[in-house]
Amino acid sequence: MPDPDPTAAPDPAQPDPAQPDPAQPDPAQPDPAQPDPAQPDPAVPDGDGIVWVPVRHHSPASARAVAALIDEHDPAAVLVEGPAELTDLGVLTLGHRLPIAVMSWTRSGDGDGERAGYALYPLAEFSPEWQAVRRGLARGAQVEFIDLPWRDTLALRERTGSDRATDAAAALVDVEPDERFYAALADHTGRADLSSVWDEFFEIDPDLDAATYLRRAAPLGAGIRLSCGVDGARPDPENAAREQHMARCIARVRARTRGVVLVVTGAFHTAGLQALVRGGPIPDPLGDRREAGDEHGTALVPTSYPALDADSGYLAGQRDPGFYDRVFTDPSPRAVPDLLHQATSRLRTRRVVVTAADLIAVMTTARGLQQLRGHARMWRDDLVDGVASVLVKDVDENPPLLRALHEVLCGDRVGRLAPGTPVPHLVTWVTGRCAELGVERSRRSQDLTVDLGTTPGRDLSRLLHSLAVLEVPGVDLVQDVTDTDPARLSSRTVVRTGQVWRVRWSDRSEAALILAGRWGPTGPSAVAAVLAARTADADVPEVARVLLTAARCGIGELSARLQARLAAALQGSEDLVALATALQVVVRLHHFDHWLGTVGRSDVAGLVVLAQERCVRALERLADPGPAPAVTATVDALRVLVESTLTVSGEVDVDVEGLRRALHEQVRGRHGPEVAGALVGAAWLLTGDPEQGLSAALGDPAGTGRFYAGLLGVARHLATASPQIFDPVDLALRTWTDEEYLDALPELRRAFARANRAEKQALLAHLSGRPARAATRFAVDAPTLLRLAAQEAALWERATRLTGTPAARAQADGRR
Amino acid sequence: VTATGGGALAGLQRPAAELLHADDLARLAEHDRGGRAAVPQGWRLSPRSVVDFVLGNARLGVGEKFVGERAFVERCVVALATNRGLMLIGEPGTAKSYLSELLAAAVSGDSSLTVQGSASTTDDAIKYSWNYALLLARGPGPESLVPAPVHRGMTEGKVVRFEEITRCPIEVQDSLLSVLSDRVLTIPELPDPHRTLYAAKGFSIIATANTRDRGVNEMSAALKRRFNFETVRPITDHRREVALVQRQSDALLAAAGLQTGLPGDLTDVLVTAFAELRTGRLTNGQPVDQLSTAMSTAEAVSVAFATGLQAAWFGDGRPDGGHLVEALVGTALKDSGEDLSRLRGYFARGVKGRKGRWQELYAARDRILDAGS
Repeated sequence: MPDPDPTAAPDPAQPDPAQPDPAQPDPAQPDPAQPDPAQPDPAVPDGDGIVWVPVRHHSPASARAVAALIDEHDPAAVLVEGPAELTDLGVLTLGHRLPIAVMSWTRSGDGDGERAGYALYPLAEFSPEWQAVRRGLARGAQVEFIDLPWRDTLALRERTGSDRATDAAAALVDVEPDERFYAALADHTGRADLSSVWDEFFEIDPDLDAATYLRRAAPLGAGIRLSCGVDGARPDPENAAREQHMARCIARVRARTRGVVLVVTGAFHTAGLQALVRGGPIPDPLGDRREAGDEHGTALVPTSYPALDADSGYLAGQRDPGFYDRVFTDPSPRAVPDLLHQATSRLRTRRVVVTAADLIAVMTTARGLQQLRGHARMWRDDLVDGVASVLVKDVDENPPLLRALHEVLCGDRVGRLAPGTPVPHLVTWVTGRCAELGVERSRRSQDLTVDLGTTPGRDLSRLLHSLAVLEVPGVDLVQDVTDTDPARLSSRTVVRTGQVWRVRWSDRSEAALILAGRWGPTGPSAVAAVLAARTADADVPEVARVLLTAARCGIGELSARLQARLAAALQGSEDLVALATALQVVVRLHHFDHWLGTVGRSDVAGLVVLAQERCVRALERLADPGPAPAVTATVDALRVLVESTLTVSGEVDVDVEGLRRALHEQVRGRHGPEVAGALVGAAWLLTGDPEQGLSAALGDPAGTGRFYAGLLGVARHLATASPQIFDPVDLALRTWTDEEYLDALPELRRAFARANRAEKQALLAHLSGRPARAATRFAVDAPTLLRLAAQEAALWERATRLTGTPAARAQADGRR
Repeated sequence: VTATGGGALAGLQRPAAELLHADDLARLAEHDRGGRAAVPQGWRLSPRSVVDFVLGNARLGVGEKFVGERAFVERCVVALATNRGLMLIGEPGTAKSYLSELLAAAVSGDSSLTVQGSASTTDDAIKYSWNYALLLARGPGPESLVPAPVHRGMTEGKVVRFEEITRCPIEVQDSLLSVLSDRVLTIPELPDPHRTLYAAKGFSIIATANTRDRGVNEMSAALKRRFNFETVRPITDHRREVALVQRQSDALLAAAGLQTGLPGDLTDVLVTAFAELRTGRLTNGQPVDQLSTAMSTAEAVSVAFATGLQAAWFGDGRPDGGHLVEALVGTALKDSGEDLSRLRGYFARGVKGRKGRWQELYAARDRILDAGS
């Protein structure tokens, strides 16, 4: 077998990562492994006394090299690619349990959520940035983060229309080389992805010294830069601005400091920064473009290895952080084989058997691969390939040992901030409110029953709703006051006074809360900002939902921006059905919702007026709604419109006359029989006068049923109280042929389907001329009535649970 | 036949890999000696050189013979070096047999110890049988035994190839159990010391199985445990697949006495179409129907070859999209009427509107799309 140590016995013909490959196709691409005699040695300080340390983020080898170089050169200043807005790096040394992340956030000053974004700079024990900060501070060096502040990066992206995510955990992204250079690197090392290529060059050999590290990393970074077509200091606008900012910081510190300056940045940037610093005056990337009035800040956020693992690739994460942690802390040859034992132990606790024969075969194969690949110690890929080779017996099979191994490679370490770490004001606010309202933030799951009828209950509900809006995990509404879709609440919806919440606080909740701190300093301000952002391009139903959410979170006064957004959404819609739904919600909020504290509020009243006005405009332009479900929705919308208008007309200045005029016109318009019936009903409901529209539609027997369905759908109680309106159809019935009667029957049945027993009896009495049997009259007080209603609701709930929803039943019937 | 002269090879329809690539093998062996590389006992080359033989090594002037991930080939080589059986599985036409031939040629210098699995394969064809005349005349003895590939592989310390192993009945497959685990073959008819044959170092088994044939015969769990399974995947690197198809079809056409190969852009169109029909996704990400045939690289080579022949024998000698469409009839459309409909869909959504050679394909679509009627 070949010598396992590539450096001890260099083999000129093998793809040895330590040696140059003479077959490299493009002479313009420097070989990353070969020191170029024409270039200054990167392992010693340059003429300006700067040691440039190109790193790959979350690379243990980079971290080791940084630590060794700081010990070797004892620099006066250590400058690190990190968010420059974090000026007090002392907070990083408070004794946190890693991994943590520096969050840098920005939001527009008026809290409208329009410009809000954050970036996360994750730090683990094996991050070179972390080692730079810790070691530098420990040795008394001046340590600074020098990357362009996040708010400026974000402003730059907005200006350049860059499509990179603005509100994502994206920072410390390593620039990838272009395909050709990458292919050459892959050919050179025989590894298929850049992370493995990096491993081959830097990570696998635990004894790689800092000088060799620098001699390989510097040309690799420069090569990636060249391969991306970056000529000297001219990368894309964002990287250009970042590099200018970093270079200015370096030049400033260099000018003011005696002694060595150590610069730790992504390998891609090093060559660009050197060119800028050595090239004289550096332009200010921000110049006159600084955003005024925006709020911004930084905070430390605990994170976890699974979170880092999930954010690999484009986002700034690290695949297999548990593995890199292990190889960083333990350079011994046992480190990686131990991971297999950990995986096996995991499986044993789950009572999954792994035979000794399989384990022997795995280790034999892994060791064989390690030797064949010339790895100085067994590496993750050798072990994973060994497990896959021995245990995977089918295409895409994922045996338990492989899954367990991946869990071990990912790791389960969870970061925690040291006590006393400054947190965003929102966290303090929430902590205070939780204490006031008796919410225990423990890991134990607890169910809180909240009575909205009491002030403390309402306050608690608002706090919990706010946490849910801020996407804090572990706060869940398990039972609401009603089972109806909250956006479809109407004055008729039956509601309970109680909510049940399940609260189970965790490290993730704490981290999410810190993250949410970017939205605003208090619960209401943060919620208002989130909701404002959510309404940026919202349609009318979304507006209704946002409005309700705002009320449930107890946002006292809707912000001007939120109101404007809601108004714009209403203004932009001509859809009667959507507008009526929104009207229903605002009327409920304004007129009925004592619990939510919105009754009579002027901001809501303004929205009521606007929604009603928009409905009237939509009614004036009412077109054929199309197929049956849309017709039913239109009928409902007409009912809502008229009912809502009547409900609030005494208190709010809604346009009753406009509605009357619109209905009057539409009754004369050409509409399908059902909409025509609904319009007649709506006009009757509004004015108390059925006008003359009633005799319509009787010429068409099939349409007659639809007409009455529309009419009764809007004004059933009026119609059944005036049974004489059915005289025309009674007369018509007598003249129809059997065929015409059969045509009309289904729709007539549907028209009366919703009538209750008393209404049907009243109609029968009228048509037969016999007095109706006196209906039993109940004299019940309100509490009893509520109890009965609740019982009935419970019965329906049970019936639905046992037999499915009416829609599902209808579907099943249809299939039969 | 020896590998000494091109003349001897020229008469062969398909020379074995160790003959065809004798120069590469010699160069790598020389390199191993020069670098004092560790060569496992019974092997002709060091494991690294075996990998280089398969994937090529530009510095040594060793050509690429198989397109695949290096890590994958390394796993295959390590399986053989660590005395595990190697099982290559994959879709038809992904060059499983070819890879096993290359590995056997590199490890043992002999890829001829091959068992072809089928429903009628018996122990005789795998281990040994008898020369019945000698058996009757002299009784059981080493001279009357006719060694089959496994016997020879164990005796000579060579790699044995077992093609399409899952086509054999399960009890026939299981006769390999003791051979793989104990590396021993018992021949009860023979007297001691010939009764037990111990495998010489270097012996190993490479089996191949088709993932589409999985239903024919399962494999016992006991046998599965003794093999390292490796899935041979279709080539995902478009550039290298095009180069491979071009190289191989040019060689086939040259062997047929034709000097003009397919134009590069036509090969590109062919490989693109095959990849799109194989993955069910156009290059622009739009979905199309997958064909029921595997649409492998090997089939692409044979279509390219057929396209060249079509043009030379029935056309003006210059292969174009029309010839390609004719050649597609036999490969893409085996016997499934549904595939014809899927291919119509592909022409309507994938071929129509594309520029260059695609227009020739589209213009000739009637030749293939009427094939079913």
